Amino acid sequence: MQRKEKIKLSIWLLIIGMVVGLLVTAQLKSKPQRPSSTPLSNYTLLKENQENLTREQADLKNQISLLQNQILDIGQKLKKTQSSSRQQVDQLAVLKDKTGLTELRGKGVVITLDDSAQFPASSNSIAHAADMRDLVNFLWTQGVSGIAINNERIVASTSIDCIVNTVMINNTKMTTPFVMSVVSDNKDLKGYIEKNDNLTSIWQRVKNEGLKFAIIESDNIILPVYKGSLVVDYAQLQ
Amino acid sequence: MPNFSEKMKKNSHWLIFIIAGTVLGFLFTQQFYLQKKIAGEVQPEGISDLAIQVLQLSKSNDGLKKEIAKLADEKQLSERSVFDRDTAASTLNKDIKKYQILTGDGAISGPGVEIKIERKMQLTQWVDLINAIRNIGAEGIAVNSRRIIFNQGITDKDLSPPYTIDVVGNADLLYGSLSRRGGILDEIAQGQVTQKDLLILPSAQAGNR
Repeated sequence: MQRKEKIKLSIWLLIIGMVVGLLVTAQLKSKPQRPSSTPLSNYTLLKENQENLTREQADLKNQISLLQNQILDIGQKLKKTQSSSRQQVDQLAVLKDKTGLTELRGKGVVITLDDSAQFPASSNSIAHAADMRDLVNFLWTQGVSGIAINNERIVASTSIDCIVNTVMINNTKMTTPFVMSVVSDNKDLKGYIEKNDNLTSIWQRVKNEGLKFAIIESDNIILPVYKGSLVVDYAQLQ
Repeated sequence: MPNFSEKMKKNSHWLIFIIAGTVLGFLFTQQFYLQKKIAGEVQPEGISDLAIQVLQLSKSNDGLKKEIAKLADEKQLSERSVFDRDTAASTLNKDIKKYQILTGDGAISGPGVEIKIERKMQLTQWVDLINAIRNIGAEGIAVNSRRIIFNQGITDKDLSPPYTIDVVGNADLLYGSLSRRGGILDEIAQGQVTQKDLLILPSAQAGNR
């Protein structure tokens, strides 16, 4: 019996020794890769680039905002010094309002769209870029005057895009919650948004998946000026 | 009483077993933590997500720098306009035209692409398609001769097939982006794209019913 136990133990020790030997050998055999080819270094480099570009983007937007304000001030001076230009300055101001290049204030609603806190993350329980596109389109059909999402003004060149797990609006990265500020004189706007026949995909997911979708009315909505590029290089007025 | 070395000899196999087990446990644990760290920070999706963001940001920042240069020129011209009536008139005129194009306050012309789609599209598909076209860089869009501007929205009742979508902008860029395999047209509509040297789009007011 003792002999059998000894043999058994010896076999175990042998197996363990082999496994240990295998692991130690594997560790010794794996050569360190050159820094440029490791996934971790590629990731870190990309992450650094993303952070630098995001900081640069914020800085460039501030410069645009400054220049826009300076041009606006000069426009006011122009009205005083060049009376013949007054009509054109006013016409330009109206067009800039329509384009989203001036701050817009008024009554309206604030809509918050956020991932469900009740259910685990799934395609149906999280807020998508597609939800915001549908919402923005719906709001425009209701005749609203202006929209901003997380302080990004919606303008002619705006696109709302999903890049894997990230939403980008006006090429600016956004995270939840998505807060949509809407200026509108339509007193029934909240009711239209809340009607289940409209925006059915969102309302179904609110009911079934706990998607967060809240609408509150406000007398004091402020939409910021669009601080991006508006390119017209190819189109010409007829 | 057996002395220490005798005890050790008697139990040496147990000692080996314990040492081996410890070493094994250490190695397994080390591997586990290392794999976890790498997997947590370097998901294949994470890298491609970042790469696309970096590309978008880089493209966007180039656009912002060009806009700053244009605004700086505009500021300079505006400053001169304060004292020079002719400069004032031409600068204002140029700006007015630019914003009229963006707001749809006037018919426009220019190079671009024409997209033809035969089958009926759902509203969500229209929303996604127009969004994608704007992302590429459209300066004007019309569907079945109706100008589409950003602050009017689209409804189901607005459009019936077959659809002809005219997009004014950089024709090469628009064509390349829209016609690529797996792109928005492939995903949504299977449309046909053609480059055009000259398209004419009506004003938003003319297109409204």
